[in-house]
Amino acid sequence: MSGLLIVGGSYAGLNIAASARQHGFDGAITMLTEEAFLPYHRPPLSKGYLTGAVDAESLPLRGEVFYRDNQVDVIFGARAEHVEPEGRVVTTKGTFGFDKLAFATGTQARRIPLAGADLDGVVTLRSLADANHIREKLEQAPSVVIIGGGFIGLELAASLAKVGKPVTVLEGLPRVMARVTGHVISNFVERRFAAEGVRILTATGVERIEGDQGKVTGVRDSHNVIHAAGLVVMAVGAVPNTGLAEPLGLSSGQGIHVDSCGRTANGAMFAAGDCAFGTNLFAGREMRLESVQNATDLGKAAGAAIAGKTMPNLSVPWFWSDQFDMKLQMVGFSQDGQQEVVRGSLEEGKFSVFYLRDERVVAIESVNAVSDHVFGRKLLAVDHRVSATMLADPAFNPRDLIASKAAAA
Amino acid sequence: MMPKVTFKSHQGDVREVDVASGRSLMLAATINGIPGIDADCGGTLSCATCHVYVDPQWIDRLPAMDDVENDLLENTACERTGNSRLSCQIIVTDELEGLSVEVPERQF
Repeated sequence: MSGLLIVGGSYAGLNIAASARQHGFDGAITMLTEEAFLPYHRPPLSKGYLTGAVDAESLPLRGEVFYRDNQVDVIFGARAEHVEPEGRVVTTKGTFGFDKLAFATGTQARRIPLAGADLDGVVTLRSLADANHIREKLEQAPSVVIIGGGFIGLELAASLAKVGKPVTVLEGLPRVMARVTGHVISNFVERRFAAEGVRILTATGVERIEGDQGKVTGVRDSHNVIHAAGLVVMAVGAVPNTGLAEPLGLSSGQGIHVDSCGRTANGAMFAAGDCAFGTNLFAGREMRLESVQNATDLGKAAGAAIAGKTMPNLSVPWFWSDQFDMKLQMVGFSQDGQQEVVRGSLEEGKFSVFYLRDERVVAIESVNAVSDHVFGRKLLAVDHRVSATMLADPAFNPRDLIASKAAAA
Repeated sequence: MMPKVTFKSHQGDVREVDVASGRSLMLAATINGIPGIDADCGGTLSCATCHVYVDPQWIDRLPAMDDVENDLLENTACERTGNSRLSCQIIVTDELEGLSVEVPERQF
């Protein structure tokens, strides 16, 4: 069978397939997934799916009808093992031919090689299978320790607290979400979690994981304090799955190298999503961006490229994280900012932090300020000029920075 | 009960689907492969890619939208009208049997 072969069945894989069809690709499309499920929504796995608010039936990104209507053949449980550049992929479910190959292999959760990391009850969260495993383990676990205070760690902690589990979060850096948000957000979130009775210990690493008869009993932190736990979740980031692309010379430790259209150095091969490293046109530099938005948009660009259309990913990167009653939303990258301006009310818990560089807003981090975020996605895409002083003035309306659409009424 | 709802595409194709009562219109669209509803954020009020134009006969019979949906509707790819709603926020119930919406030309 020739045509388009997609390795990986999540956001990037689905969007590559959909976009290729949409832009006129009429060859066979086969999607290989090592999972037992059609591509599904991941964000609920650390939130609603754990608390029971979201059921399994609402997880698939598209129902079977979509795959039938678009003639996308999905092969379940197929773990790709080797790519023969002449046009074949060897998998655990047989060998598949291709004219064009798309890597949508994503990442896997990073495991720190700690003593005790192999004990029963030490888990990571990446897939639906992982989430089901956590749900099972949760029942017998009197308390939980989460290693890592990033988005996943905090979302998990909030979800567990909601169902009444005692949780402790151990974060090695001085503040939570340090790599991805600014100080104002970190401080606000830490205070909110404390108010909910969730212990977050920052500047606290992990020495080892303790166990008894093969089962985890607790975590010994870098200050030699032992935190009892029947379940330990390692939420310390993810590593890109580049194994298939490495022998082809298409990847490095940073990911599978692509341009802004998801094209690799091999004209017949493409990549998108969490596994892809390449030029982000908005940021003006190369990066590997782990987000639903990036997987979706770079997937769409790659699908178009596969169909012979050049439609680079120009999207302004955006991200969200729901923790307790906080809707965190981010647009742009706050690390690129030189100045920050807070607008709104920290007391009311409705505010945004605007980041400026050379009198231009380069990022906005919002808490319960959807309007700022939505506007921000437009603002960051256009040229504009604003000083920190202007932005800090509550009487100034940032919406004046872009030409308004014709008024509806 | 399985109320029926109708999706009209931008090109004029009409598809009627059964929706389990209590499910969102967005979910009904994605499960049934209705083209043109992207639902990028999975119904968490974090994007605006499940935008639909509700049939004028029905728009006032839907529960009112909240502030978050209203703000997000400012970010639709196709023009926002008085009939615009985010389909993830429309929960289909027996009272909405026969609901009809039009899918915009694009969501991004």
